[in-house]
Amino acid sequence: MTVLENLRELYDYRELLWMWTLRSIKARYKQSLLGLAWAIFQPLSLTIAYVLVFSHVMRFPSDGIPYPIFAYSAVLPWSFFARSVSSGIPSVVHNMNLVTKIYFPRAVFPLSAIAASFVDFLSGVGVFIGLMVYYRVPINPAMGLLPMLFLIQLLLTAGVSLGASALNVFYRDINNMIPLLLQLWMYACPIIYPVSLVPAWLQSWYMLNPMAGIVHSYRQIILKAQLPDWPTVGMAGVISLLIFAGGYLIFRKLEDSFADII
Amino acid sequence: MLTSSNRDAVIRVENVSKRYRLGAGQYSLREAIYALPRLLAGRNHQGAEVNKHVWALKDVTFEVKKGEVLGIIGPNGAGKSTILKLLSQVTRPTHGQIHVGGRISALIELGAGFHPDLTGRENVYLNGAIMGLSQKDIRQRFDDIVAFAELERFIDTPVKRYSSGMYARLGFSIAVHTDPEVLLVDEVLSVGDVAFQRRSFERMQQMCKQGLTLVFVSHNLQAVGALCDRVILLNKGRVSLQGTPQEAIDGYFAAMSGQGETDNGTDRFRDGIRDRIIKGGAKILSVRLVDDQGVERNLVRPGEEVKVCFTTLFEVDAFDPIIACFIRTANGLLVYDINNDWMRISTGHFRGGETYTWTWRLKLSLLEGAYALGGNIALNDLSGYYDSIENAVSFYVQSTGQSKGIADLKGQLLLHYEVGERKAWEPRLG
Repeated sequence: MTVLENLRELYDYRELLWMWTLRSIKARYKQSLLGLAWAIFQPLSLTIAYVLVFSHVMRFPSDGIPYPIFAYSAVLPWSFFARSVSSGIPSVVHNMNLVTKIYFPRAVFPLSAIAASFVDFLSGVGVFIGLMVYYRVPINPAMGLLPMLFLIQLLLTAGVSLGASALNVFYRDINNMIPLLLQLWMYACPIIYPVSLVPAWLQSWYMLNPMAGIVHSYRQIILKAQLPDWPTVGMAGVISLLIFAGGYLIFRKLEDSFADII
Repeated sequence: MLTSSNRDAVIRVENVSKRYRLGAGQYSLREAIYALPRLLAGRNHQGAEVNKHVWALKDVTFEVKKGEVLGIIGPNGAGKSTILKLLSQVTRPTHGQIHVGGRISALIELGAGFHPDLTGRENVYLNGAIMGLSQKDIRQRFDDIVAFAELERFIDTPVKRYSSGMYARLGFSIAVHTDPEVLLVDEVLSVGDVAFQRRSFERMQQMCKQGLTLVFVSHNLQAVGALCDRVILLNKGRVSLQGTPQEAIDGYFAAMSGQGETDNGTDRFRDGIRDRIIKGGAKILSVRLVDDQGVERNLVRPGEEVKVCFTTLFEVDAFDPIIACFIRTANGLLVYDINNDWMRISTGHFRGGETYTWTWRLKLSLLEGAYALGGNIALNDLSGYYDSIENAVSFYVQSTGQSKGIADLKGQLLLHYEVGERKAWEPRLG
């Protein structure tokens, strides 16, 4: 199957992608008391904790931006990434009973994990808009670039999820490593601190982490009404694209032998 | 190579082999480091550790034409399920090629693709989507699917409360309503009740008349015989026979009884004859299993009365030889053994050069399964055989739908409950 045929097949199964996403959302919230409110509650409570610890106790600088919205503007996209990846990576293994019995494009699993996390992300965006109103953050023309940034983030998320979910079928240790790796990765991103705190000599290395560039650029655009640093965005874009290509190829290579692992 | 690459063939399987890795699916950390480059290079199945692999299929080649019904039979572990998995694209062959032209619907395992927490209704939509249907398509067929499965009352119940029969009905109903061009059916139908089995067979037959290509894997030789145009007998991953249902079923029995002999080699001759030498002097020419009308039968009903006719050519004169008739299960267990000596009947004088036919009347109070019928002619003093034939006729007893096993003991259930007085709980002292 060529890449094009593969993508067309995925497109043919878009309804399954949609239904599987709905199923995951339903399954996640069916027996929980707060239901979808969890999606808002989780990043919000994280932000409150960060405000208390890093702003009031540790007194981190936030480039003159009120710390709550400073932190939330990064926690929100990061949570989307982290949730997508941590639910996407074990998704193939969790559905082995389907994988070994019925054929359909296996990429449905990690991709629908991203789609389900996107629903959470959207409800978080609602809260963010509330914060923007509260802190009187104006709408600015640079915000037109947000979809592009989001696309880069999606590529990165899909690449990591596809590649790691396929490898996880063969090396189940990967799933155990996720919480730790995500925690470390989060500290490597300007979420609780501003990029200006990173020493100058480290900056170019620091921005090799695409998530750092993405989060930083979100903040620049929304909270500072600035155009992003193009080299930073370009770097994040190229690396995300490479990770996506790598993850996609790993998935394609391995998906044929998923059903042979019993 | 395959010369007859037939243009009508909907399914073409060419020299297909499939190798599985034995043991745990995962690699240890050290193995993993070595295996990762090979895994990504796609050569994970050609590793050096040959003893850790098993060939589920070896060099299998066959074709199925449009509208044809192919049965696949064989003992456990013969590779039947692997073929279905390969045809349905769940897994890929290690060597060889598979072409399937047309939309496939596979019914490989009971309730595969059902989510236990979702209701029947939600599962119909989910399962339909897994089979590649749009929601609109499913909505159009929804009522037919539910009606055929006879689940109107339970369609909004979570499927985890369904019985296995209900699972099977819903799964089958969805599979046939997706308008497949190729339908792959595994053992699943044996779960449903008899009435549903009959309806699903009728449905499949009707669809086959309309051009459906069906691949049917089953242990139920009766169903295979009734449904299939052609049958493949698999044994140890290889095609050991392709032919008419009867040929394949006979081959199946031959393979099974071969196994039975080695399993039960010592049990075979506890009938008083120590010396197993066949001395010759007579030859059993034919053994026929016929019904009342004299029609030869391989498929019988439980409890049916049949006749077994032995035709024997005597080469020498024989005085009062002992003739026996016996039945074994497919794996060699002796079910029934009868001879004239035990019955205190003498057979009389047989003249050399003449052919004689005698008939046993048997009431086959047996349950569903495959059986083999044999017989022998022994010398009057039990010092040896004139001739003996272990597996002369193989036959299949149909299901009663009520009981399983070998012997039809005509069980009945008498529901006269004796309600005893409930004993009060007495505290134990000490």
